[in-house]
Amino acid sequence: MPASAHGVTLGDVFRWGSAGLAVAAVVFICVLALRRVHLSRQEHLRNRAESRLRPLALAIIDGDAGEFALPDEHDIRVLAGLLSRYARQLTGTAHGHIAAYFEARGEVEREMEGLRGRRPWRRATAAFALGGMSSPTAVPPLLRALEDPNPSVRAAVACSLGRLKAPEAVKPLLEALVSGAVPGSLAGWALISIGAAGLPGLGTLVTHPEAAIRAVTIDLVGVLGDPAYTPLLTERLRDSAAEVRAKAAVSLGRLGASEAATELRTVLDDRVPYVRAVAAEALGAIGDRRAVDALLGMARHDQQDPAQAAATAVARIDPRALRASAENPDAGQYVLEASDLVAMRAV
Amino acid sequence: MTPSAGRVRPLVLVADDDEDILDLVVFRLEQANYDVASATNGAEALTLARERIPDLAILDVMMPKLDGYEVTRQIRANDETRDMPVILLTARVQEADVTRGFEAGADDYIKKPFSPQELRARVQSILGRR
Repeated sequence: MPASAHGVTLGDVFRWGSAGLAVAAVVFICVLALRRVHLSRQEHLRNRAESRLRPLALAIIDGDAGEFALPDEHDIRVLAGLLSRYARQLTGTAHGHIAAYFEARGEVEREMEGLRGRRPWRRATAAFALGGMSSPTAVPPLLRALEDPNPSVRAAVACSLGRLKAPEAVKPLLEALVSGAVPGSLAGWALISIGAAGLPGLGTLVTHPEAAIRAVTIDLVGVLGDPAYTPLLTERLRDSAAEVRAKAAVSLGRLGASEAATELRTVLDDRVPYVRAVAAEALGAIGDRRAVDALLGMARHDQQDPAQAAATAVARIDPRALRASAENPDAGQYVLEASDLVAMRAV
Repeated sequence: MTPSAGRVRPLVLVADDDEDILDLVVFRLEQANYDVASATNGAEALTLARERIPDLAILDVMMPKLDGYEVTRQIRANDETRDMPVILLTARVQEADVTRGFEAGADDYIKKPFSPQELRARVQSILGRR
């Protein structure tokens, strides 16, 4: 083994290196173990606090929390979380009682102040806590905080706006979703939580100048399931953006909008294969018998995705027509596959 | 309302795998002076229904082990429990789901999220008819 001028061999370097790595691994494992113990303890404490605070939470929901002592800061957070979960399961006066409890004790004001804090974790914690307090007064400051420079704060804000079911948050949330300011899954969850209350604000967004916003709005309308939007969605089948045409077709299918069937049949000739495919699926969902011939033609001659979608749609609308078509020598693989599936399910 | 023989207060069976809903429903019923037996899955609910013959069962539709429809069917199939009123607690309110509940033998359904006042009114209405 070669030795340096100081008598240190390469073997020594490997031995020290190995020893260093072993020590680092042991330290790392110890840190993980300690962290695990810490998290378990936190969870245990939270569970105990929840058990202790449950009677208070139920009394607050009932508007009868006068006799209970005011919890400390940690308990307030646990209580807000518990009330937020309960509030999701309830309609009626419970939300007003929850808001009144926190407003009367100055907690809403304190957390709104926290939204202006210097540290991101403080702003995020405050934003999350406000979502559990059911107070509509928290909505305007939360909407402003949706533009916070910190992504964790924005995520907490989106979550709370969803929990507060604030209809005025629909447009900012959609914009945050499209711009990526808030993760799509979280903004989508918030929008769906706001639910039908946000629908009246969606009309103008269906025709928003930005295609991505039109597409997300149309998707949301389909998920929320309001048939009043059928005429607006039908118009979007002729949108200049393929993404919007596709979302309009999907939403009309979800809504089962049979009055849009004629327009949807024209989309079977769209220049974009994906749009043709989702239009076929939508016609299948609607059960449009007038589309069967066009769908069978598409299943025989179109590209893979639209052809498969068309054959599957015919299987939903008219399985007999599909099986009859499968008898023809030029039926094509997608008609044959769909027909085989129909036969298998019938067994 | 008339509790079954031997009971001072009517006994209501509540089954839901969501502990928050269970808390809320049990609290509301106890506050309205009912005795409550609770279960967190369909199989446990069915066992309690057969053992304790409650005056009313409030069952979540989507439960582990046995869903609310199946528990209702089995309640109706048993001679001792066939007359027990059943209310389904459901987040699924499409017409087909409601019809499926009534076909299984349910007497009424309550949509989630629910109003505590409505819950109490429905329970009183059903138990008051007995």
